[in-house]
Amino acid sequence: MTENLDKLLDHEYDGIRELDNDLPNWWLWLFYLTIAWGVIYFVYYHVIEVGYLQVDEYRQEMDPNYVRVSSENPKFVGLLAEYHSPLFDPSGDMTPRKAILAGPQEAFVEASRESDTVVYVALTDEASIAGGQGIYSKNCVSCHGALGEGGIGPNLTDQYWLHGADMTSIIKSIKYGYPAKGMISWRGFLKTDQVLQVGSYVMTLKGTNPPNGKAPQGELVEE
Amino acid sequence: MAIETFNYDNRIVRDFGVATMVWGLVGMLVGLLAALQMFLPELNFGIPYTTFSRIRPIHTNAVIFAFVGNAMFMAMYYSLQRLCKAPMFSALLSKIHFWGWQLIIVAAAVTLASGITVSKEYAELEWPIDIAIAIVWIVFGINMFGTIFKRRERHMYVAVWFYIATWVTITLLHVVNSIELPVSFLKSYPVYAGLQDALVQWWYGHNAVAFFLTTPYLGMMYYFLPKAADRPIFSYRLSIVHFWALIFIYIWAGPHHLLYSSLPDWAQSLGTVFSIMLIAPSWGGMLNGLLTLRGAWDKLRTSYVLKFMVVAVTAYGMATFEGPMLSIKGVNALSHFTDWTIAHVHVGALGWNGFLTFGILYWLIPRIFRTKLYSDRMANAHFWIGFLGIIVYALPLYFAGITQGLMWKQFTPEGFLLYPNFLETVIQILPMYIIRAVGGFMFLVGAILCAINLFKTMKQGELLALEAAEAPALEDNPDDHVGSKEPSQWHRWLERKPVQFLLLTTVAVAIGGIIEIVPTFIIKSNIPTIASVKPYTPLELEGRDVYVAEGCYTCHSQMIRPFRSETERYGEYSKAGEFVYDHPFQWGSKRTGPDLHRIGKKYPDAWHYSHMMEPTSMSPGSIMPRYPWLAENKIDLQLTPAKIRAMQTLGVPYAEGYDQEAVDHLLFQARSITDGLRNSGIELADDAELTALIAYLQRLGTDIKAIPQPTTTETAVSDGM
Repeated sequence: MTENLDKLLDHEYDGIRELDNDLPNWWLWLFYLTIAWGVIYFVYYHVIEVGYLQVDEYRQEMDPNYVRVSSENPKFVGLLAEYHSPLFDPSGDMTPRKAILAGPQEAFVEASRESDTVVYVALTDEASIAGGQGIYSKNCVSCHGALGEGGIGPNLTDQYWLHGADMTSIIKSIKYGYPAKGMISWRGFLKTDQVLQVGSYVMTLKGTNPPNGKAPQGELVEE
Repeated sequence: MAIETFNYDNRIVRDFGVATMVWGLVGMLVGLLAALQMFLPELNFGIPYTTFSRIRPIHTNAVIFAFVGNAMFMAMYYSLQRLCKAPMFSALLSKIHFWGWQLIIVAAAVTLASGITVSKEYAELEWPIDIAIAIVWIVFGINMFGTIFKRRERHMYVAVWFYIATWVTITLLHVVNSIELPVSFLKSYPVYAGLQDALVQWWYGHNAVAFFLTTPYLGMMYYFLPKAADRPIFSYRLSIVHFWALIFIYIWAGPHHLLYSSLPDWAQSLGTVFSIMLIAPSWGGMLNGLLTLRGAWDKLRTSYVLKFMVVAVTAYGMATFEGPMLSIKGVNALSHFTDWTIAHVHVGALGWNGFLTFGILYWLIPRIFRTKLYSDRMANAHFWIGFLGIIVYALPLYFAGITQGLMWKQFTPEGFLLYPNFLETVIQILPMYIIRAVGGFMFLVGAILCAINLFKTMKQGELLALEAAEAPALEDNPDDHVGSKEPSQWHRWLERKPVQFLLLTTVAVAIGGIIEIVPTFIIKSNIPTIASVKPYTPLELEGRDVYVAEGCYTCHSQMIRPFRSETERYGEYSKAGEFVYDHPFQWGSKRTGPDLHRIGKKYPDAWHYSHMMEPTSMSPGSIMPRYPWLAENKIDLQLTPAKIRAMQTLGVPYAEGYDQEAVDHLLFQARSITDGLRNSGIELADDAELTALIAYLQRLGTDIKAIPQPTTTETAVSDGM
């Protein structure tokens, strides 16, 4: 190292000289180290396949007890074709007309809705109603209006209901939604007690008759 | 030995220098406007041409290709002549290069503002401009190599190596990434689809950073830093090793832009490991720069030129360490799609490119104008306000990026997302956006000081347009180093052989790209197909073109990563097979708004209509700009059949002759949307851009949910509930 220390080389370019210094040792080691790390990384994940790649990582995140079965994970497949969420079903043809006609697929949502057999009862205590009102004003007003008068979504204050007027139906509408008609599922957004609160609040809107109410939709429900 | 006399052309250097300052100010001003719109969206003045999603590409293109591009040409034309002891090969080609480049910049600004875009980041320009770029770039190449061939210096200095690598790699990147099938004069589709398009694009995008923002600037550093410091380069051998290591490894790192995406894992891993391996080669450049200053650090007290250069080289070192860190999947899982990336690139752009450019300008302009800089005090003021500007710009964005990244991932103990509403995570970081804009403003103020200072300098001096120089003619004696004991003797030989140098460089930069990109084209298992994924309907295709034209990708991704926090928020993670008809891909790189890959059928059409007309009506507090012109603008039905035919050419399986039915189908589907909207009291034309856009959005990400439909199924058209 010292041999070449700051020795000027015999060339110059437009007055620029160069020294003949060696590569700094620490720099060389850094380079070797990163190369070694790269080789180990690649071997770990792709040759001996010990490390979990992203789909396995994901499955493990969803299910802490998940253990990879090696046959499931052939080499170099990219994101796996075999793993699908419950919403997935590969079939169908290629004509766009079909794609237009094929409505949104609610089979999965329907199945969940059907299997949910709990009967819900509206909460009536003040705190719950107030809580429900808060949730409503944050999440629901853009479609159902500030007073439940309707807008993009239907009027919640009249006697006409598309999917049932009882507490259980309303809770299911909130929980699972009617995605085809624009009512999203709030399962992921609201906790169970929040769903109950906002459902209870919606029950209190019936018959309040706010201004600019949207025209009735659905069936008349006499209570 | 005959001494030859000749003249260096300083006029072309001056021209590129002036263009650098002018476009630099424009690019930064547009950047500031974009930064302001992040918290004041109404600053788009209610018109499409100045809306964030259109000016963001203008900002990036202006800064990269207009500011840095012109600065690179200025510095190359200055240093190359002197390093080769020869005037430029052709003054005419220099002129064509200069004016061609400026015209391209103007064309880019006009088309991007008009929504004429391919939407591939930093390669947004449409095909006629792409061709013009290729031609001007080749003109530049001929001029450069012509100069190198008739040089009077036996060896090529390290700066010239970097210039050669820049030229050949940018040629490759630009040509391969810009292959498009024209539909009309100003509309084309990339030939690649989905994953392949993404991979080619980020091979390009990453290496545009490498070979447009880095290698030419390293070459410039190798010339101007020792000149300004009057010190020899620290290590010739380090130059050799880090040059070859840098250009070979850089190319491979592109996939780190697509970590946790639908890209096959093996390609992602290559992106990660080559990014890590890139640390040392990048730092080699920084070391050679900083260690060249040994014994000259005292000059920093008085030399604003060196101050700019030292900050530039240090910023380069920081950015090239941070980049590999962001390429580690665990870090990327947090940082990707957030402002962390924006902070990272600005340390590079403002610090490395900006400050090196300013340093060179301050050194060079007085020289060719035979005068002193008009005001040293102004230059010092520029340094400090610019330096502080970088810090005030970057720090809040780091804070914002990490904050938002963590908020996206935060679950409650009950297993719900703590911030299910994306908007909450945006509103949280708005104060950071305000501070960032202040930082950007400070940097711009510094640049304005620089422009004034240089303008005054030019005025007080006089351009030495032709600078007389002399040098002995190069004797034809290629063996003058044979027998030398230098270990790098073979490299000395290479430095005498521009053609061999060019070829070896080409090989070095081609390998990585070929190994990463070609398998996705020839090995089918890299893109598992999904049978239920069908081509877009004509209306959706038109809507997609609107999405592309408006630049929705600048704020919205279409790539749900396989994380619980993302599948809970957005739905099933994205699969490669879902994008096979996407010319171009729209995965995006930044989430200022939520991911849209599974937006389809989530909200009613009326929601989308209202949201586009006034985003805050549906999402109070939203910083998305209004897009009312989409309801007024009409799609060009004349072009629809040609678009279908273009897609067929690209392999999209529309039935034979479908182009003739396309418009009927389009109107049929459009009516189902507008009828539905009418039920909600909304009037929208069948051929409005918004109708098409709604159709596209409602289709997004829904194909994998499709189950076989009995043919008698009733049409479930949204009826407004």
